[in-house]
Amino acid sequence: MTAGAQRVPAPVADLQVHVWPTRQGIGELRGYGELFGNLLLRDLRSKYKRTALGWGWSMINPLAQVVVFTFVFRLIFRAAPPPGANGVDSFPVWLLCGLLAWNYFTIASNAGMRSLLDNASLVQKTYFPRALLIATTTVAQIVTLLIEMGILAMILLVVGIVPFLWLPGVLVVLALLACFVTGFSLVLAVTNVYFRDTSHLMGLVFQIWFYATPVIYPYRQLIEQAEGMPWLLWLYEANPMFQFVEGLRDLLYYQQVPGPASIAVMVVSGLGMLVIGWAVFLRFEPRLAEEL
Amino acid sequence: MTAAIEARDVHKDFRIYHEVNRSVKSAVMRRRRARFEQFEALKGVSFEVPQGSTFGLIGRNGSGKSTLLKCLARILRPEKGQIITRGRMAAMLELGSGFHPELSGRENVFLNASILGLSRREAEEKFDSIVEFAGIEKFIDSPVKNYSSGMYVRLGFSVAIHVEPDVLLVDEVLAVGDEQFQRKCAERFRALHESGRTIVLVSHSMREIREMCDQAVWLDSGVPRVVGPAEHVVREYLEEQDSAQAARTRVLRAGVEVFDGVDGTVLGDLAAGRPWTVRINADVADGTSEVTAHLEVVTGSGTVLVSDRRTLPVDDGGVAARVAMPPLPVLPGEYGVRVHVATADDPDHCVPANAFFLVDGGGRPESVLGGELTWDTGAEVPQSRAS
Repeated sequence: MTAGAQRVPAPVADLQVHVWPTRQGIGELRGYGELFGNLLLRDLRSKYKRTALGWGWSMINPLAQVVVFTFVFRLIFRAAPPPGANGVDSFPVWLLCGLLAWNYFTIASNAGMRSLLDNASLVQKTYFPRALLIATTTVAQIVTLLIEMGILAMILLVVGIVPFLWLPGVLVVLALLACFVTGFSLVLAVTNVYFRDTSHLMGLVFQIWFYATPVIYPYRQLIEQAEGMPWLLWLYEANPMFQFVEGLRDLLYYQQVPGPASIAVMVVSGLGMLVIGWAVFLRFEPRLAEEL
Repeated sequence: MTAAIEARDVHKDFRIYHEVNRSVKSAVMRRRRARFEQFEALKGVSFEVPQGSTFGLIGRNGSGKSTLLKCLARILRPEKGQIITRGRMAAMLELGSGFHPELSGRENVFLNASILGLSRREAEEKFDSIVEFAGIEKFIDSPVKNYSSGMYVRLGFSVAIHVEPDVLLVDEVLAVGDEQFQRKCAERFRALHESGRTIVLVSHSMREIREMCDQAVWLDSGVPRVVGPAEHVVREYLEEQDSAQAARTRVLRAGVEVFDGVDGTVLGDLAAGRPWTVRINADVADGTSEVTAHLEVVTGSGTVLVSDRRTLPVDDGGVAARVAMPPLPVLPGEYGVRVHVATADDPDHCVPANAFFLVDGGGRPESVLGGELTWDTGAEVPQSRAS
């Protein structure tokens, strides 16, 4: 007999009392930090398991996108973003400064949306706050994004932009973006459990959203084309992803602080989305195990 | 003695959706979510599990045992009522359910232990013991997807049992692995029990419940029927099972005959459009006061033309009924009368009887509606414009 089993249980008075169902809320998450870390490790470890290039893939994909988009939009469509800090004028670098944020948004939202279905067996057989599953996927993607950002910082150095002074600002924007994506994923994840069409629909939505956000073309060129259509520009700037993409580009490529309106949209949409996502998630969480 | 678990008036409803495809489109069309029916799986369950006891949950399939266990495990959230537990709780509902196939056994042990509530330090302390108990030292660093199903559940069981919770919930997972492993598991449960832990066990094996449990609850359609010492609850349950078996054979024989007109001759042929009669009789065992009879008229291809159900009183150990049938406006052919007789409290176990007869057309045209149509050939009927 193993020694551990002989441990005499604590007297009843000392045992922690649980009441179920608990009131839902942020307090539920207390004490689950370690599980969060373990789930995160699981996501990160299993991501590139059994691939020869491993984490190299997380950089190869955006680089391939840069090659394709530079060819199509720079060489064929003659997209010409204004030159950046220190007179640097490089379409690929300009592109990368916005593309990484966009990629994070779509990859993390998609993974977050699927996280409940992918982990159905966990949800149906074990108890822990289910929001952890969504949070781990969006945070795991942040790790990838930070690695990519590190490489981007080196590229910036090579072309002659010293990004270090601006990195705190970049981190703040990334944190707000992560809040936005997590809130968005919380909504998508429960919606996807109740309506399995969601993931198919979102494929389409993300595609339209991508072209509606000036990631691969300069916003300046749109302003020139949109003469007499102020509503179009108003619509563009109301798009939170527009502000995140442009904000990061401002900080990294142009080395300027985004305008106050942009900062306001980022803060409100980042924190607001997180609150909305959390509220929607709590509303649908109680039945998740049976609806899966 | 203090209770390790107190369930107070626990209610759990499930939704049964009527459409398979729950799509956004259909939701938008109806402007709300998919239509559903409420099904009450637990209808107010209350009981106490004393600290240090082994507690059995028994009942037929669909009686709510597993639902109750999942509510205790906090996987399902009861609509009403409260469950109070004292101490660390771990559930063994499906062994290895948290395993990630691509990760190694080692990585999965730590992940699974963490899901079950062990800290990293505790998991490290128990790691060797976990691996040894599962007997997979050689494979602990290969991905679990390469494990045999036996290795998989042994590792899952080993992690769960090493959590050494104050309250352990077990859903029919004792029958894992080979005989030797099962013996090890049983020993381990005994050790947990002896060290004062509380175990809640769902099982269909009355032998297991008798051997392992002190107390038990018998759930019947979401309501606790008997709560008390395991031996007593099991005996009550088995007695009821026996009498339910007996109820199934309470209808001894059923018969059906078809007559022309009101008790004319026994039917071979029936002219379409004539009234006719069905007589039902059955022999019933003593002690049954009424039966239900379900009567159907069917075509040769199985289409049901008439269907009716009645509860009939038993008189002197038998049942007899005469049913006046409406004229059948049907095509010539072979038809059947089908009767199912069952006791009122157990409609699923019935005794069938059949009778067949032919319908001839009675000189009428060979169509269902028959009749004469009005044909007009006057000059005012427009010519077809086909050219």
